[in-house]
Amino acid sequence: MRKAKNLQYKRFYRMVPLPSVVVLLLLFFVPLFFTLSSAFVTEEGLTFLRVLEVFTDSYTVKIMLFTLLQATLSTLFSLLVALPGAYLIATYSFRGKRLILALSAIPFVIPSILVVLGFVIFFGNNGFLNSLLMSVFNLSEPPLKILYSFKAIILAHTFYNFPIIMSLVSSYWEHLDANCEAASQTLGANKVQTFLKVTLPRLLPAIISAASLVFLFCFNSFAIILVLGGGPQYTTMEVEIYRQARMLGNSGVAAALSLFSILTTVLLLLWYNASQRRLARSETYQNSKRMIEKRPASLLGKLLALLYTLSSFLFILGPIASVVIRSFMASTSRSAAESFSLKWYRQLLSLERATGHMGSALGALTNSTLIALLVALCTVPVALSMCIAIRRRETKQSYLELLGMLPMTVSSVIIGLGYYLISARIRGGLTLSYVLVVLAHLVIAIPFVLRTILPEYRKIPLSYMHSSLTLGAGPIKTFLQIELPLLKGAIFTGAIFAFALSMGEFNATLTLANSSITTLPIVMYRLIGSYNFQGACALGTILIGVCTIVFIVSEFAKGGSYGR
Amino acid sequence: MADNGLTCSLKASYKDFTLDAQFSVQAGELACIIGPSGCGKSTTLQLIAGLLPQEGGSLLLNGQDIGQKPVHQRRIAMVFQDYALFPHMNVEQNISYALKIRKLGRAKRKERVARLLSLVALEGYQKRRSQELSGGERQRVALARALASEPQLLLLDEPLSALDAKLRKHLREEIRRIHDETGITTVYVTHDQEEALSIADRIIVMHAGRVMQEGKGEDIYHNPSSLFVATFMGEGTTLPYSIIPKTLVNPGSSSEPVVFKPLEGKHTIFFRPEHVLVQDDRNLPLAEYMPHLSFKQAEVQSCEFQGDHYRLACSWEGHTILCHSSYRPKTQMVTLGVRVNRIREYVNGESIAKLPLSPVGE
Repeated sequence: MRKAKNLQYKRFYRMVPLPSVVVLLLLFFVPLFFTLSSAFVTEEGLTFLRVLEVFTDSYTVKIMLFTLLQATLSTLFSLLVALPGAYLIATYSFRGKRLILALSAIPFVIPSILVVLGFVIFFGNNGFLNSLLMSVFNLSEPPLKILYSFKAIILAHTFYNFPIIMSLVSSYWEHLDANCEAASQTLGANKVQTFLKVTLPRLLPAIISAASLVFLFCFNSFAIILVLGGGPQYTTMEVEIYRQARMLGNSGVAAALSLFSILTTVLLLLWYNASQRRLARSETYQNSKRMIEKRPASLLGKLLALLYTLSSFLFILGPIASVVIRSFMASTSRSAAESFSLKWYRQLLSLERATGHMGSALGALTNSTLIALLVALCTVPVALSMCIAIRRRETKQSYLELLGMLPMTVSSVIIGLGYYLISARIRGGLTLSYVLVVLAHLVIAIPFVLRTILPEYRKIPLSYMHSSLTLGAGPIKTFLQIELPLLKGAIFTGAIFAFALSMGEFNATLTLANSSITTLPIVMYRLIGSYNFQGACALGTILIGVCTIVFIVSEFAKGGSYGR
Repeated sequence: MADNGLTCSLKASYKDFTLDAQFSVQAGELACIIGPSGCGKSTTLQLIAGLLPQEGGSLLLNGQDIGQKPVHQRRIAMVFQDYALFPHMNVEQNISYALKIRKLGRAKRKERVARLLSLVALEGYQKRRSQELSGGERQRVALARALASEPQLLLLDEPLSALDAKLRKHLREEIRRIHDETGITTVYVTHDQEEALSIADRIIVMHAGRVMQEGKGEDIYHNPSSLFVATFMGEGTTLPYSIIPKTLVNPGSSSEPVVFKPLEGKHTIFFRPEHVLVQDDRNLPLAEYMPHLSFKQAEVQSCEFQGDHYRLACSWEGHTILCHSSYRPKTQMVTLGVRVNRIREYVNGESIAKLPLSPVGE
């Protein structure tokens, strides 16, 4: 039988993602292959001994346990802070609610090195919070000494992650059918009973799903532990991989350790995926928000809402604002108090002779911008062509979509390690090193861009494409005339997202880069290491500017799609 | 086989469903495909348009086999259930989309758009955005867009299902008018039998991927070829054949008495509610002078006022009989009667040609 292959343009849609798939597979599997081969292959040949040795070593076991412990505690604290907020947002309407929701998107776009810097500036011994408390209570000693300790790690993780839980849980909560609570109360349950027996069980899948995401983030956290942990006693898996590979020169041990990290991440992701599916199944999602939106009734309620709003503003915005403020301050002489100054920006732009690491700041800024531009330009066509093919498949989760998410199964430190091992094998010049940085950023950015474009693509009904075809346009013309114009916003958002991600990328870059490579976050890290916080703040402010643009664009794009 | 119009024999199989449908539509006809949801009517439409792959069979349009042509070369226009107006284009751009692809000049395009808009009674709507249109207006624009390239065949996939009842009635008259003005061969998919009966030249009833019956609306309503078509296209009562000896009445005045002939197999009889006579006075006989079935002591279970008649559901010896009455019965117990020549008989759900009861001497 003449099988009508080209009739539904199947071959066309099968060919479209092919180059992207090849690129992605190469970018992902080649470094992974290098990592695995250095874990299993020694001078004597293939051996499992090293992996076994590393895994049974008591020091490694200690690190594994600590990694899990800090992730568990961070998740618990994030839940503790986030759930009251989720409750407030889901049940009440109050001033500042929209702003809180908007601000909760910040952790998704803010680079971790910036969190670290903001944390040091805000909570440090000479930080804003301590100075405030000292002047208010007239103290001579800084009352909060939390930096460079276990507390600092947990606190930073909580600050970084609670808005994620808050926004995920509250948006699910808002769409739960409120009639169930009403029904429970008409059946004789009081408010507490209703919450425990009716609301909480229905909310649980959302809470579990959000918590596992945060657990994953904390498990793979790198910059926060590296800087705020302040020493080998608080080393997690990711930091240890970096330390073994780059400080101690044991890349074999680092590779063996990354096996554990990959395994755990894959398990966590599978669990997260399952919880997401459970979430999708658990309740018929109400399209309209629940009807009862009331203001807090009692004075206590009002006070609590106000307190929560204010403190979440303080904790989300405080560190960021203090970075910006600090960057405009400098002391004219050693003993003088700090006052407004453009010194750091002048040094940054080489208008003034720079000292120390500030000398490489301008170069880092140009490097980062160029790398980010390249990454943004390259990720979009890759992600877009995969989206085209994914959208045509009838089944909900195609192997292509899973493939696109593949880089998420491996932490960025391990991606960096893979590219570091490549650079160690093929000795190239500085250009090659920068190319590897770009490639590593590409692998990291592709899943995010895919996740930005794909939902928007799915919102375009297939009937649009079908009617274009029945009206006489071929598949390419249909893509150019219908899909591309409708996806303009999503593509732009994706590109900006990729740009910001690359600008702020720290983990992979630090792991793979030699000392001659300078990007914005790397120089920031070096400045923090040499206690030039104001200089780091100046660079950080530029990063904040980039993130703000992303933030505004993504918020704008939310409301900017065609009303359907 | 007619070389004018659409003749198709479609085969396709899916995970839990196979489609095997043969039917034809004359040139210039408006045909309705009707069936319950999941019967394959929308799949049929997508196969004709070429949006789904066909596994065999043939697809002839005006004498040409188009089964192997890609969608965009078939010259078959389709109006989708959600209209699929491109949201980034205004009404004029939407309608002239196909004209632009066929590289029609600017002036000609403008003129055609204006003509099409006046055809669908939306003069002056060129610059409106699709989001600003009401449901009915969107439907008209979608129709104009489909007609713009002068297709050989127009497919409509439940075009009125998203609209409210009153608008639906008005728009189906409009579709019929536009069809008559353009004379384009049209296939219209619906699940609403009233819509199909009122608009179509030809009705194709589908069930489980197969064509059950094809023909004029009156034929299908009055002579349904199967029990499925009978019950899908309107209401009626299904009773076992075995009740006939108990209920058959040959009035003395009728010249040719009717007798019951026992038959083999699973036989059922079927009749429509409007053919049932209702008598609520126990002392009066049924006003029926022809051979008929008479159901005495039927209990009225429900009586719904429908405006021009009452719809009764009566229980008789455990069976439910539906009937229409011009008045509300005054008693709970009524006598029902239905003429023998109104009854259709089915064996295993399929119609048999002859009447179950035949006059003596035949």
